[in-house]
Amino acid sequence: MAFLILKIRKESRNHMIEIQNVTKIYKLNKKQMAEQKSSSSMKVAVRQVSFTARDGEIFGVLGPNGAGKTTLLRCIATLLQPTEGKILVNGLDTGKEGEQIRRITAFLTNEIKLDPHFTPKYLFRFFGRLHGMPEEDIERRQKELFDYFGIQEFEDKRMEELSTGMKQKASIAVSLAHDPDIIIFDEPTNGLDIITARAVTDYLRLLREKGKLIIVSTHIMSEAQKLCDRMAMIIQGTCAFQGTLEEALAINHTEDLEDAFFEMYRRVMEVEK
Amino acid sequence: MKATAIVMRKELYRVFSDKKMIFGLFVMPAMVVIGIYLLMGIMAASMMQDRAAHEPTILIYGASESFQEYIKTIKQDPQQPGIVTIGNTVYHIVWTEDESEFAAGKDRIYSGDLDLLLSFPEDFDEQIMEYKEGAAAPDLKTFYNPSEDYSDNARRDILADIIEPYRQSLLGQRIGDLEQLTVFTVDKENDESVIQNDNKAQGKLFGTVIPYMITILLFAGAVSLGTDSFAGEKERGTMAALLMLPIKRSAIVYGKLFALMILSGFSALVYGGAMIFAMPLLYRTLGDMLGQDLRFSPVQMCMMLIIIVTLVFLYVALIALCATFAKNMKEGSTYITPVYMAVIAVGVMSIFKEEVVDIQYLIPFYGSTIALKNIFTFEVTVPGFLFAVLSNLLTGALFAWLTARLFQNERIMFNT
Repeated sequence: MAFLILKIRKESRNHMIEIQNVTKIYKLNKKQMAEQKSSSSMKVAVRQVSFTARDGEIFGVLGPNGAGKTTLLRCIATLLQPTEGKILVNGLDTGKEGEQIRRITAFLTNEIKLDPHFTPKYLFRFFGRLHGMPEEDIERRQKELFDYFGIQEFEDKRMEELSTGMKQKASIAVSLAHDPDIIIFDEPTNGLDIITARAVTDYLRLLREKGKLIIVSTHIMSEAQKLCDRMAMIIQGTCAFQGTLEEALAINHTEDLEDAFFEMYRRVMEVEK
Repeated sequence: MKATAIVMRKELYRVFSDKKMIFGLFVMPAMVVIGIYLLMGIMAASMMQDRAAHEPTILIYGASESFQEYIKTIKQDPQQPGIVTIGNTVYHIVWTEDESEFAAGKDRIYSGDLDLLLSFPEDFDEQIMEYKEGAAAPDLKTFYNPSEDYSDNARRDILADIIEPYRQSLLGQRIGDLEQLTVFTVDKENDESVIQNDNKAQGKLFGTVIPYMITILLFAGAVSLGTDSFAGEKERGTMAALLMLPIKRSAIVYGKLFALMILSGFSALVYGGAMIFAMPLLYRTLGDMLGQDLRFSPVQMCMMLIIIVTLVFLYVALIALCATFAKNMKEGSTYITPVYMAVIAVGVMSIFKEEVVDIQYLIPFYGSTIALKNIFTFEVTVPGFLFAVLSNLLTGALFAWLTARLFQNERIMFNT
């Protein structure tokens, strides 16, 4: 098994995401300023964040809600442009070469949904075709993914008729139709039941074994502790830590990632004060 | 181009695979149009029949002897004196000399119990007989209620059927041969007076309303679909999935636009077809076959088709632009409503426009309605037609390009 994994890793090319001093500032209109009780028309969502993630690893972007995790992932996925700094995906600049980057990446988030009117089967073919895949490849990938997630049972049902777990499975399958090298997953188990959540995390591990680069964001530290090889902790838009799980535990003198995160969070808040 | 076609197919499939949408977009509008026209026809016919069937009651106060004699000459039922039949109308005539009954008659007119009150002046016959040149003519008074259809009709009919012939008979008695009052006649023996192209005449009639209806219906057909396709996808969170694809965002916009064009065109066709089918039904119900002789030449039909296709493109591009700005369907509808009003206003303007110079066909929206109107009346010029088509294409392309530009704007696409 170990030999097989090693072989797969050797066969795959090197994939890398480099975040270089990325800052993302949102302009707020008056309504948004009132909603966020802000007196400034600018909101810094991400400030001077840098880290590098490589293939064959699950990289966690950890932080509380509103820390800037989703903004950062959206920047990597080319949906948003950094206000300052640069993001390189396999050496391609997200600001200039978005289309090429989207060929090799998949971005999954609860906010991005599949049209409720269509069936998983139809959507899989639709997205596969738009990724430029030949029909036989679409057929093969559909079988592969639908088998793994048990989607055949409901492949002809409309998305609106599916449960949350079924929808999530279908969304994952459709997003991975083109067999991307880099998978960006925002809160992968959010809102899922324990069985579906396990199926999703197991599949992320399988993708890692295949040599893919996976970036996940989460605020559930127990999940991150089990899943992530390396991680960046985002607190108040800044990167408070990046490294391995062991390094995070050692620096904070704890045995649990959640405790380590709270220690880190306390220190950042003290500095902020 | 391939991506555009795939997106377009998906948008079309979305509608055509949904029975409810097919029913709501294509079947129900046709049924509503035909239903409304049928209902209008039935109601109008029923109203006309009801009016025709009504037997008006007329109270005549202080009638002159000559008038009473005149009435006797009209066909009456001997069993039912006071009932006079002229043509298909049966009049119930009540004679009175009682002043209080005359006063009460006015109240009955007001309440709708009585249709008409006629009052003769005293010595009416003497005044007629002793009339001298320059003297005032005796005045016959009528009292009626214009807010009551029966009363209004009764006055009109009595004046035409009884009073006018009675006046003519008195005039005949006074001056002998009435023909000597006729200085000359116009077209009395000329059956070929009207020289017209029947199609053009009908076209003129249709040309005032149909282009206006076409433009409104084309826009109406595209509004709900366009709002759903752009603002609706944003609201449902499904647009972001499309934006994550390795295709140009303009391909998504154009795919949606082409699908909308087909659907709106089809929707307009259904509306138009239903109108064409229902209109003769309406006329037939009313006993008027107006509109059945209208024929279009192949050139006219081609011109109309080209104008309609390019106009649909312009409309869907405009709707797409407005809907892309919106965060959700509700906001999209809010943005599109004033635009819809403007389109209606432009349509109304075209109804009253008589003369146009070719350059005016270049005015977006307005030029097309004018062109459609003038195609109906055979008055469109070739440069005018080309200008209208060019204007639609250029303005539509501009809106489509702006929509594609908006798709690049993260603030608009992700409400950041």
